[in-house]
Amino acid sequence: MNNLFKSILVIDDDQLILKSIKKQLKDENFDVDFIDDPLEGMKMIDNKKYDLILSDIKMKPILGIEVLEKVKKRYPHLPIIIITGYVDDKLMKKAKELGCNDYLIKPIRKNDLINSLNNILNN
Amino acid sequence: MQKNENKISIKSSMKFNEFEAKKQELNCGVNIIPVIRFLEKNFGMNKTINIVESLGLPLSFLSNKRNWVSYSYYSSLLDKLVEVTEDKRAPFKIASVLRPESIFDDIMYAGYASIFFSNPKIMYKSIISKNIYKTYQKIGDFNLLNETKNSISFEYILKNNYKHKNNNCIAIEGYLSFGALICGYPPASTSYQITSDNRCIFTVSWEKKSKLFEIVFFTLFSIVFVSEILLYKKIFLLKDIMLSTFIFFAIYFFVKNMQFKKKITHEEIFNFDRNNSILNALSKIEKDYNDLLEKEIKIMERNTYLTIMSEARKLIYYALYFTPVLFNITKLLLDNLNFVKCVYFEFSLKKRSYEYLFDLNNEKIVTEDIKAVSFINFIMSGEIIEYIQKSNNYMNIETNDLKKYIIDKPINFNLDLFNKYYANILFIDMPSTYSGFFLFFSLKKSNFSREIIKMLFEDISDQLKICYENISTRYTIENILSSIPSYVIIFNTEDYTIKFINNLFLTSFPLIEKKIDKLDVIGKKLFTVLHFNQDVIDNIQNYINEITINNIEDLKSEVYETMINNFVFEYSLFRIPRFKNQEKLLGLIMNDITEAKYFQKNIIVNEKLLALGKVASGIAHEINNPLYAVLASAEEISENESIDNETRDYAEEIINHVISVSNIIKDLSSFSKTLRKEETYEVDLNNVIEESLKLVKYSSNYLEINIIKNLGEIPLIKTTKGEMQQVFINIFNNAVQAMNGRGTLNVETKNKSNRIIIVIKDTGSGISKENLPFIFDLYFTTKNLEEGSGQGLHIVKKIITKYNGDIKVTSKIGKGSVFHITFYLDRMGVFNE
Repeated sequence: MNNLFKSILVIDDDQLILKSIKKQLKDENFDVDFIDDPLEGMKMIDNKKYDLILSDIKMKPILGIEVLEKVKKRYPHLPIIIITGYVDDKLMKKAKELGCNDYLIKPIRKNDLINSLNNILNN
Repeated sequence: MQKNENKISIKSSMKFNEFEAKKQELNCGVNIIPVIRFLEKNFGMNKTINIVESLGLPLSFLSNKRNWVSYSYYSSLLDKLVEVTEDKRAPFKIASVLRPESIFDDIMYAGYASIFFSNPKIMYKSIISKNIYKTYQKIGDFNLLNETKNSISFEYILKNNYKHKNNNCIAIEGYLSFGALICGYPPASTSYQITSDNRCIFTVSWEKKSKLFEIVFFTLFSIVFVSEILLYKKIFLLKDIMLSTFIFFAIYFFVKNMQFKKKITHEEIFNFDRNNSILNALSKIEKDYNDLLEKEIKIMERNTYLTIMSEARKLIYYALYFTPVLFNITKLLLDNLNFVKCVYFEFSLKKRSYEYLFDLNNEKIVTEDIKAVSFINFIMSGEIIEYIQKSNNYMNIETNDLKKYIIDKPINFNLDLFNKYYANILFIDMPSTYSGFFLFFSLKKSNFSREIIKMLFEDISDQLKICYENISTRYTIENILSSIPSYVIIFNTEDYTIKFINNLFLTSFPLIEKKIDKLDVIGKKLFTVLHFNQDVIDNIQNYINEITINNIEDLKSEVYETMINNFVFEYSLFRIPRFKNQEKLLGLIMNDITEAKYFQKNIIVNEKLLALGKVASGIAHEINNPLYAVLASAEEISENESIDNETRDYAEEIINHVISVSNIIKDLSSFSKTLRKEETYEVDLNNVIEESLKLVKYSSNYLEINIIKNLGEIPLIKTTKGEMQQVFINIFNNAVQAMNGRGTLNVETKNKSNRIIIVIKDTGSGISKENLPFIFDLYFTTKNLEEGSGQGLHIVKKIITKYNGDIKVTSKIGKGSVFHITFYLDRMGVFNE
């Protein structure tokens, strides 16, 4: 499918999450990069043209919401999906305002993840 | 000497032997009969007979004018006369009855005397001439001594050793004095002087008579004389003198008339002393009577004054507001003092002048003209103060004078109408606080004394000033008490009757029925209105004992705490300055600290929950990551085509449990988060209800409950999710508890004509009728302490009322309860997307 050509960057400071996502996406035809340092992730976005960014919200040294803000400033059309551990209405509201395209709550079911990705990439 | 003789004569008032008495010495006709007549006139016939006959001679003998008596008998008769009349001048007065009985004789006597003796001197001279006096007395002779034109004096010399007696002389004096009357003169002035035992000198002097009189008498005499010569050719032929008789008759009436007048004058003179004394007595009586009358009027006025003052004091004493007192005082004065009308003017600080406040007519006596006068547009100048102040707050002025103080009045008003009236001004002036005055109109003729009105007005003015001070003081106190943000009750220390409650008590005291009237509480007993615990009653009584029995002046009350029903109060007592004299009052000041207590507890609970929430979200984060790893692994296993079905099922099971664990943590962390202070934003109540139902499932006593949701389309409302969650979780928890974990919970939401209606039905044990009114009260609970604190439904109610919503409960024991929650969209923010 055309997913083959889609490149995705997953940013999360927890290797466990990166590993789990890698497991869930291994059968899908995405070009997925994983990075556990948000600052490093930002550099990668500058260097490579990604079709979608998947980012955790609670990270060190900078928060996911900052990543979202900075990326959206530079690449307003780059879709970003936020991964979060719990529902914080305020945070979600802010994320929506900053242009976040979707959010997923951990633990994420495989189908939910793939549906969400396809939805955004195909639109 | 005279005195001695008097004594002798009194002693000699004994029976005479007939011979002695009947001596031919004095003629009865001239000497005795007048005495008898005089006695008869003064004492009546019967008494006269007794008096006269006590001396020995019968009245029949004495009444014959031809009989004679002795000098000594006559003397003792005169003595007797003085004795019975108790009047030393009585013998003088005998002559006043010396009138012949028959008119004819009278005419003859008077007529001839008038003509012959037109000058009394002739008469007196004829009396003392030997030929005449011999016909009525044979005891002495007269001897002319001296004569002038209007006076004559002569000596009366007694013969045969007779001695002059005082009474006898006085009697002769009387005859001489009255003799002048016969000649048409006023009574002559006479005097006598006894010069020796048998000699007495009499002097008579009379008024001069005008010549005209003499001429008239002379002419008349001439006519008679001539006519007798011409008609009868004889002079003084008594049988034939008819003509002259007629002329005498005419003259007699003229003279008689004159005499009558004279006699009256004379009697007036003669009775002057007695009259004087009677007049004095009468005038004294009259004066006394007047004094009495005056006193009576004064007493009446005093009574009126006292009645009015006592009424006025009553009115003033019980006064709560000032204007009604003025009004009632006006009525009182109108009724009691006969004023026609009263107007009251009050000083307006804005206009710097006196303005009409009200007027009243005295319905009994108001007249049409004054009834028509309306004072509504009257404004009086402030200068009138000075005018009235000069006269000590009371003034009685002509209404005309009032004109100059009137600034503004109706155009067509005619003040001349008041010419008939006085204005009585009663002034109430308190520097820099209040000023006003009454104008009482009275008719000019009003007979009420000025003094009493003045006194009354001044007293009432003083009383009204005190009244004003009292009312304003009480007002100030009441205002202060009313504005205190606590419940204030003032009651009598003796019978605990409530005298005052402040508005806050009335409007929001939690244990008092709403819409109750102030008057329903005032007058009732403190302990019937408020059912205190014994500790409060003890504290109050101790305090009263301290201030009344032990007389501690500046006792400060401690602040106590008590619980009435489910409310916590702190209270203290305070003393009241007595604004009504007799009553000892005490104030009770209470604060409802139930909420404060609750929030104190709640803050602790909240802090705990918040801490839990923080931990929970931290935990959520920490747990979710490994859970994700488990999930991802389990998914990979389940999708592995090479494994057997049993293993796949295990993997699926793992996945389900992971989801379930993650949900619990999600709910827990999201709930604790809502306890933080949140800003309001659009909330979907259906969503909240769903989440709350999920959480309720984790409650310990949740066993098997059939949840029927019927959630209709409702608009988002502006609130906080946390508060709404608290509402529903509390209601659902209660329902679960009421159903003991088993039953049906029915939740329905709908949007109906701008209202969101939420109905929550359970099939629990229900709430009894007695408990139903209290279920929203703080700390009200029927549960064990372990199960509930009694805060839940109170919080529910508080949150719902915060958003102007309603919550109502209906319940049947054994069947369950229904909660109806209504939010009014027009009373809260709504989000239409």
